[in-house]
Amino acid sequence: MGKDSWILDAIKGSAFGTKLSALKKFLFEKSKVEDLTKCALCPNMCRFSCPISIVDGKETTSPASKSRIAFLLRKGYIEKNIENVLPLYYCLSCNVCSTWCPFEFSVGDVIRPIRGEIMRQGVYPESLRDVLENLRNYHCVYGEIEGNAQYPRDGDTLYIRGCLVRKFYPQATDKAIELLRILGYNPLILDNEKCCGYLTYEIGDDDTFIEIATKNAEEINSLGINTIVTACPECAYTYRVLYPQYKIKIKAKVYHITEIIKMHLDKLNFREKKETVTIHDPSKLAINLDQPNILTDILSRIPGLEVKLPMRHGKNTFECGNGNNLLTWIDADLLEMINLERLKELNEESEIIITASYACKKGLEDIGGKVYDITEYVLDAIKKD
Amino acid sequence: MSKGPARNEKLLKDLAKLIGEKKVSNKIPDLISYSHDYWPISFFWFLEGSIPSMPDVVVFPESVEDVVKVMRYAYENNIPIYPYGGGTGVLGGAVPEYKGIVIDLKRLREIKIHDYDLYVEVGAGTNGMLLEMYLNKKGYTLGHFPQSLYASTVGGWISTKAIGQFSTKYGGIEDMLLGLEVVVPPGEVLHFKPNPRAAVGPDLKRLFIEAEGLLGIITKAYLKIWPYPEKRVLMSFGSDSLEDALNSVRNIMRRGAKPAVIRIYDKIETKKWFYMVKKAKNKVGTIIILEGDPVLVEAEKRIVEEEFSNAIPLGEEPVKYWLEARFNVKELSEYLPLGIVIDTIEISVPWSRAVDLYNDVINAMRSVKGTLLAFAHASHFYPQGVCFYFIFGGIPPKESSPVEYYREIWRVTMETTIKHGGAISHHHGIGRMRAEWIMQDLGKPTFSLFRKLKKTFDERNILNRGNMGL
Repeated sequence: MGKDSWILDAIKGSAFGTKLSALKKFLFEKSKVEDLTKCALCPNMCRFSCPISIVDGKETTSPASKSRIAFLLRKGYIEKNIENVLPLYYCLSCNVCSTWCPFEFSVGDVIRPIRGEIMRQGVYPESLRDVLENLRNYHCVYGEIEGNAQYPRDGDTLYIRGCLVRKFYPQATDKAIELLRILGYNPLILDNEKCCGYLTYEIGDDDTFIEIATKNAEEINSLGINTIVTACPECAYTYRVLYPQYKIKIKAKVYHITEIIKMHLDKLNFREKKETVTIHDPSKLAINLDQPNILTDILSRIPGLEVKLPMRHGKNTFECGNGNNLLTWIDADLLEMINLERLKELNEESEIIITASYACKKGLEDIGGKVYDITEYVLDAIKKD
Repeated sequence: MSKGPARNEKLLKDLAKLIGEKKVSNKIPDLISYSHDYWPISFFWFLEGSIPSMPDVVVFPESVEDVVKVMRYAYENNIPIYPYGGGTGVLGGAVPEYKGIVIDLKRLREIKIHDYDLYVEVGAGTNGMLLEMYLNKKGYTLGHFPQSLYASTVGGWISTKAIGQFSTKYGGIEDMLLGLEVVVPPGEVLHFKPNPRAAVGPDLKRLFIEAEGLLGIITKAYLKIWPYPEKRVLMSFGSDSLEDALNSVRNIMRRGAKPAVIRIYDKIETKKWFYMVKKAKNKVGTIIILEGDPVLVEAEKRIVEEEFSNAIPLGEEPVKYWLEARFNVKELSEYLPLGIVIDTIEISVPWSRAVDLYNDVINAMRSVKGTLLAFAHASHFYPQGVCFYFIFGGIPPKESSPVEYYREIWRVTMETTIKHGGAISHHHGIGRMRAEWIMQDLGKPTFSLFRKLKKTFDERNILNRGNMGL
């Protein structure tokens, strides 16, 4: 018996003509129903996995409700004004919803085109105008970044810091360079590093995204390097997954730094660390880069270290919302509440939190968390001879 | 294009003054989002861009005090209020039919485990799956797995008398409920303590089970929990007829065994869930899950095997498939946009009338012009009887609208159930869809008592006005 053959039996009693048209609908036409409509008609079966939905506690920012609003906007049933469009910006694009969706949709992917379509008509939140201006003028979401640290300009591996590290954790770059050298790489860093453009993709501003991506690809490809290592999971995702989706090719292989560490774990000689830690999986790494266990894989190699998993981890992680996503610019209060919820959950396991994104580190540190990026934690754990 | 309704700014202002600006809204997307639950009729309307039942204001209380303030205000000003949880009800029970204030309880989501006494204290707005995940992490389970688990809330479960897929062992929500906190008009907080049993006057907390927000607003619950099961056994069988399968399960129930899950599929649905098992052809498939203490599980396994000795064992595969697919709710998403009207109707009936009722409902559904499919499974079992879960789908004939076709299917099913003396709902409740038949099911005197009770609790009829026809 085939998976769908029960339908033949089920409709056996119907008139021939009806039966034929029904069969067509049941077996074939259902795949033609567009994703947005399907998502809008769901009873919100991914709701529990959505940090915004749970912490905000509003129906409107639940996954299916956002699709419903997007559906009504696209059909022209409600006016395209900022009040009506705003719920579509309440998405962390963590894609944990796709883990639970029977259609494997990511709500972010479903509503992003509608957000973009309306954005191109000039309707989008004021706060994002500043971000887009920053990107245009300074190639960084935070605007102009001061600082003249001297970094290596020659090498075979491009280390991309990302806007957040450049702005808030400039010292992290030295640590990454040190670690990459231990692992046998010869990293170089661009003085005039430019944003990968992820946020413009999130906004749905495809034109700006393509413009940024094209320029970045030209510049990076001209370096003749064979490996790119990023500090930020969003950057790795953007260069490795999103650029090719827009037919923009990066010749070098792109990795997040955790992937490099994991690849060379056998080379590392760790000292004993007698402590208990917990982990916070950044969603872009766990889901979009398909590395749900990478933090435990790395940390389990450190002798004496106990790693306690939080309730939500791996592909069911609870995104803290600090990655380069829209909520940062739309609703700082809600973002802080999401961070507090996550920190509480993590601290039930341990006070020490290891993550793989400086954005997550910053968000959780800002509210009192004791957080290490995996790069700094691993570097500290390596036996120094 | 709708410009949206004229907004009730005074109401918004008043409520903001009472509980805070950030806890109230009359923004159009909020009003739209609370204009419906998961009643298929709302989605027929939705696809056409029609949103007929928007509230005036939505409030997001963060404490029981907030709920009290809103209730007092609503009572004084005679404004309807509608409690809202996960919005997964399928009968329109949460639709703000007479406008007014929707109270979303989802911010009440504190969880506190009392592990020595084996119960959990939980905010009414707590999401079901998050509660279960939290309990599992601490080594416990609630044992409550309604298909809406991922989206529904604790308060919603109690208000609709929900039941889960593992009910034969753990019971329905009414069996799990130890205590409650409820706000009743004009704004009083009732607290029912979580004692293991009490004989202190009538058990009034039970009035709030399946009251669908008509008598009060549940803000907190105390629910029994269980140590996470040590052992799980998966079994399935193929019987020659529905009657045979029902008899096997009836005997299991009579012997006092309590498999967590039992599901008997009619021949059509067996094809769906047992598609991977050749031997299931032309059989009535049953899946069974036993779980708990290994000693008890072993004994129950023996009873199940004995009672299904006239059937063929079909292995673990169909059960694994069901476990994997049991939360894949996608029929409305796939078929409604194609013009196929699809829905489920659950009823319950004593054993003696089970087969007749099954046959008559299936025939009645098929007799409605446009019906393409009608099949069922039995999903919850008791020593005294069974719950049937009917599924129908059809393309409305040219002379009918989807809503007319839908209502006709419901009419024939409800009337057939009443004719057989069954209960018109087993676990979805009444809402607005079944209101027409509640008096027939309960009988006039009982319904009249219910009406009086409603008046006693809520003299001004502010709570979920119009629901269940009240």
